[in-house]
Amino acid sequence: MNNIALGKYIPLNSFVHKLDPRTKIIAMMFLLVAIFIPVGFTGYGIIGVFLIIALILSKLSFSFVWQSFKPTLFMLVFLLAINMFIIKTGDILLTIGTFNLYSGAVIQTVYIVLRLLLMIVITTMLTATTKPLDLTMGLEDLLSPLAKLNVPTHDIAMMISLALRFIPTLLEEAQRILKAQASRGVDMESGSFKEKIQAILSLIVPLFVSSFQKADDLADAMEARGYVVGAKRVRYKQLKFTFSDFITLVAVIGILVGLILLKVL
Amino acid sequence: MSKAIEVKNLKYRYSDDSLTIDDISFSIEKGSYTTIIGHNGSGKSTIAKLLLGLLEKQSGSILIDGIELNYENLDQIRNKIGIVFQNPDNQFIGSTVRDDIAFGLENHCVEREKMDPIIESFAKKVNMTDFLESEPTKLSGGQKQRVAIASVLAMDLKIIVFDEATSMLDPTGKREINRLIKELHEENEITIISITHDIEEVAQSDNVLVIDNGRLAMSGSPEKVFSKEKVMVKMKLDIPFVYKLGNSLRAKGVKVSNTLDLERMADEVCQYILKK
Ligand SMILES: Nc1ncnc2c1ncn2[C@@H]1O[C@H](COP(=O)(O)OP(=O)(O)O)[C@@H](O)[C@H]1O
Ligand SMILES: [Mg+2]
Repeated sequence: MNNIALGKYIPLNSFVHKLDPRTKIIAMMFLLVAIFIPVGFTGYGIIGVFLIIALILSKLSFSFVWQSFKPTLFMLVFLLAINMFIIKTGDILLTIGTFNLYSGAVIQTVYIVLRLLLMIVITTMLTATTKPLDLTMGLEDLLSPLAKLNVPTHDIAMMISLALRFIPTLLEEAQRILKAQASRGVDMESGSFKEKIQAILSLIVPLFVSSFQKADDLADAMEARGYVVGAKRVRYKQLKFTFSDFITLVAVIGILVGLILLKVL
Repeated sequence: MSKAIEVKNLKYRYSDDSLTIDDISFSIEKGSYTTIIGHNGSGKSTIAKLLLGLLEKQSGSILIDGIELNYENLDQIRNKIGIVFQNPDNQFIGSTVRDDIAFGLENHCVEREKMDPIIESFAKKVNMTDFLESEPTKLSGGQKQRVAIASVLAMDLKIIVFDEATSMLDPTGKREINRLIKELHEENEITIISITHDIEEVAQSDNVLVIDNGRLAMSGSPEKVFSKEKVMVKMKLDIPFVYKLGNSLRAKGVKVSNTLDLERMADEVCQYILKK
């Protein structure tokens, strides 16, 4: 559970951490679009340099990002293999028996690898430098125009933050149940398929029961403290758009516009 | 003194079967410390939820600080009465201590600029200033209950219900919370209603309500309630040792007063022997 780097928040004090979550979400979306503007290696180079600078500013280690990337390696080898057989453009680089390897296949594969690498770096940077709750708040703010269309953006945000709040609590609970069942002789690791299913059920059923109890209690606690679904409330945490945010957005928009111009011209 | 709470002929049932709360009436003085006792399943938590309007009463009336509780004025009621529940985890709403105390303020539309000073002053009151940025998983049960108390206090309420707020805590946590509740009661004239199994706490309260099977079996001062030892035993309720001793002595004709003070009891017994 703990060695999954993708989506994990790393508490550091850096320029990127301190950016407004809205800025980071918008920057992420623009950069993802930019990746798909087909201007070849120049484009990937520009985005890559920008991301390396951002990565240094975020104080995240390169090995951390590498960890997020590692799980996709297998898929890349697979893609490479398929491309070698399918793509038959460009020069022949290599001939083995009746099989020809074309330069087009290699370039296409490198493109996919680069694109994937950039996408993973971008999303990892967003989740590693932004607390889940701030992310929710940023999303709520960005989606707030939808509230005018009667989309309950605030309630959705509240639901997501409560879910995030209770993940550690439920994990703790699961561990407790696991221990309790193990002490009664339930074996999670070995046994036949049927025994394994039974073992998992012995974890899931109590976990469900206790989750419903928790949800009931939580609803009472929230209501007793004056929460009314859909009612007006004052938000304690406020997002602040600063000069750093302005600079970041200008840079990202610069990249996006630059790449579009490169493509069109 | 005027009444903080007046309950008349309150009835409630969860489903079609028997009444969970069966025609209960009582009143609670402003600024008093009331304990509610009764064995598990007797309906204590149900009463607490009815007082807060978390459950809708089916008949009877509830007056909170002179205001009749109904479904139009719930927001007014919740400006007067708050509750601390049993399970420390399930009432921690925010992702940090600071956010949790802020939650009630957000709902009551307190101005944003005023929130930080309020949060900090109540965190100080419950001795959690150093933990303001901590997440609930990093806190002990007792600390979480202290945060729950701060969250309730921050809303500037006059009446607080504690529903077995210490029953999931270790002895140290229990002692801390009990001391804190007493302090709040003495300093801020907050009306306390505490549902509890702790007979020491009951002995120190102003008024006791004994609930049995959804009915109000007895009420009055702890002395009065504890002197009915037979009734209490029948309801499987414990009474402090000193009261038991006093009751047995009186049954044997030794005239001792109804007291929780063991020293005083000893003096009276000695005097009785000397006089004999
Ligand atoms: N949500 C519920 N639905 C149905 N029955 C309930 C519910 N909550 C409590 N009860 C029943 O109501 C009775 C009183 O419960 P409760 O007020 O929690 O007692 P106490 O707090 O004194 O232990 C019990 O018999 C219990 O089983
Ligand atoms: Mg109860």
